[in-house]
This record gives sequence, structure tokens and C-alpha cells, in this order.
Amino acid sequence: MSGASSGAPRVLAELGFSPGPRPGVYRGPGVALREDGGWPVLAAPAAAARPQDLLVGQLGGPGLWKTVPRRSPKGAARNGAPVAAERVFQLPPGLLPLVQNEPPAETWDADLVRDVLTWALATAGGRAPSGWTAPPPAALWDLLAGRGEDGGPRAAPALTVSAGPCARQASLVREDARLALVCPVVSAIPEGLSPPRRAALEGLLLDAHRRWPLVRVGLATDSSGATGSGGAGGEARAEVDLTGAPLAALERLLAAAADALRWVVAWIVRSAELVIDTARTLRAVDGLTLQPARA
Amino acid sequence: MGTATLTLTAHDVTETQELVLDGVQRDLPAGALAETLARRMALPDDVPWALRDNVTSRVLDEKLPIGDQLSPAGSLTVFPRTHLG
Repeated sequence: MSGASSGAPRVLAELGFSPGPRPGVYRGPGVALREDGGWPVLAAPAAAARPQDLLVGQLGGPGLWKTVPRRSPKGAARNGAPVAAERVFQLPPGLLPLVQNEPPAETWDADLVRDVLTWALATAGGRAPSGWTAPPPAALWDLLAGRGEDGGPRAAPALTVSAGPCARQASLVREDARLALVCPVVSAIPEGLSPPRRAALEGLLLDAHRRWPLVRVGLATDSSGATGSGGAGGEARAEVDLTGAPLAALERLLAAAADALRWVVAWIVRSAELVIDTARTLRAVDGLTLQPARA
Repeated sequence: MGTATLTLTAHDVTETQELVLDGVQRDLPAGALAETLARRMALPDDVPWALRDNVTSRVLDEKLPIGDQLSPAGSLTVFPRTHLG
């Protein structure tokens, strides 16, 4: 913690946050700040959407914002009915020490709180904070490697995800106006994938997208991931976007991002490969009949 | 990212199994790919595995990306990384 270890509630007020209706919740400009399982979460309303639409168009956006179903869509993922959704910006536990109405002042780093919340509010509009530039690649790899127990630098992690018979290589994407860790789940979805298998794959991806903090999982049909048709073909990808992240929080964010990406990809990659393997018969999936969405 | 993939053929050292793999990332380290192939071939998991390029007979560096080492034919042998003591 820096010397600015008090006054964080004042910082919240400066940024437009006020105590909410119950302990642990603040209301800010268009967002609510709450704690969810130890994770500080900024949440904003979002329009109801078909589950499969939530997999398209979110990749490549700046910051940690993502639109997720409020609850597990289950049957809705198959029949395409719209589900209630919200936009969330989740932060690793401990980065903002507490989200309580009257947190002990000594647990707050006011500067860090200000920087992190400013980042979240700036990227809520879909843009990186003005003037922000990603640190140089060498500095990022140093931050990603972290420090050993003796305080010395460690070797940079390989960012390789191994899950039994599957392996994926994540990459650090660094441009002046973008910083992200990106990992493919399925590099090329077969164009002729049957609708039940497509729905099963989308359900798998959406479940990962909804459950795992920090990580966006979605479909992309171009190299940037900014747009996608959601139709046949394309790529399934997971990413953690740290564009605009304050330097003071970047080491912890990078470590959390690498861990989150590793876990989520390892969690779904085997199932995803199985679903797209058309040489295998999957009776549990291939026999499904998709129901049209109810009006 | 979508185009940065390889199609390759791999067999075990006894040539009793052959696999064709699509969509292998070019930047995947050869060591990770070797372990992946060994799992798919149900080879023993208490042995470290390595890859040999069947065209050049060169043993691939486990830490380097497969795309930087593999000859265009994309043909590999998975072999146990062991030696006589």
C-alpha cells in the first residue's frame, strides 16, 4: 500500500459513488459496485439478449467489461429465447480491499481505488482512457513473470495451456492502445457443424463466459475479434483485456488474467474439441431437436 | 490468429498409430504438442515425450514454437525422451 491509505470512501464520493441500499453496495454513475464471492464487481444494466448473441461482438473491447446472462440460460441456450443480462466488470479479490459502506481506512489505497475505478468507468463506454498507452513489451513480460521468493525476477511464463490431449498457446497482445491476453479455444469451427453441435458448443462457451470472472469467451470471424457473424465457421476464443489498466495494478491484474485464462481454457477445451469432432458420434448431442424460440 | 494454424501428421515410434491433426497453433511449443500427441495415442504418461521431424530427422526443441521448426511436409514422430544411463 502506498502512503495514501485513507480517504478511499472520499475517493468513491469524488467518482460519484454513494452507499447503496444495503452494506457492501455502492451506486455510481450508471453502475453499481458490489462484492460477489470476494470479487469486486461493477455492474450495469444490459438489454435482454439471446444467449448465442452474447458470444458475438464482445471480443476485442477495451477493459474487463462483458455482458453476461444474469442466470445460467440452460434451455434458453438451445431454443434461443432472450435472457436477462447485465454488464459486469470484475476485479480480482484483494485489488480493491473491501467493498463495504464503512471499510477500515487502513485497508484502502485511495490512489489505487481511484485509478482502478477510473479505468472501469472510462472503458464502460467502449473506449480506452484518453492518453493511455500500454507499457513496453519487456516491461509487460517482467510484470507477467513477477518476483520470486527471494525478490529476484522469475522466468516469464510460457502461457501454454495443457489439458490432457489438448494444448493451446495463449499470447500477449500488446499495441499502443491495446493490451490483452488471448487464447484460442477452437481455432477453426467446422463450417458444416450441425445445429445441435453448434448449440452445444455455444452453450459450453457461454457457460464459461458467464461463470469465469475476468475472461470473455466468444466467437470471432476476423483477426481482431471485434466483430463476428456467429454463423458457421469462425474461431472460439478466450481473452482478458487489460486495455487502459493502471500501471499500479497491472502486475496483479496480469497474474490474475494469466491464471483465469489458463483455468477457463483448460476447463472447456476438451469438451469443445469433442463437440466439433464430426468423426465421432455424440448421441447425447446429435439426437437433440432444437425448439424454436417462443415469441 | 485464425490462420496461424498447421495441419500435421504424427505417428508413434513403432508406427502402430497415426494421427492427423488440424488447427495446430504455429506458436505452440513443441514440448506441449509432444505431450498432447502422446495423450491422444494413449502412450505411457510416466515418460517424457519429444518430437522428431520425419523429413529432416531433427529432434525439435521442446521450448520453441512448432511452426518455427517443422518442415513443410508436417510429418512427425513421437518418441520417448530417454537415454541409456
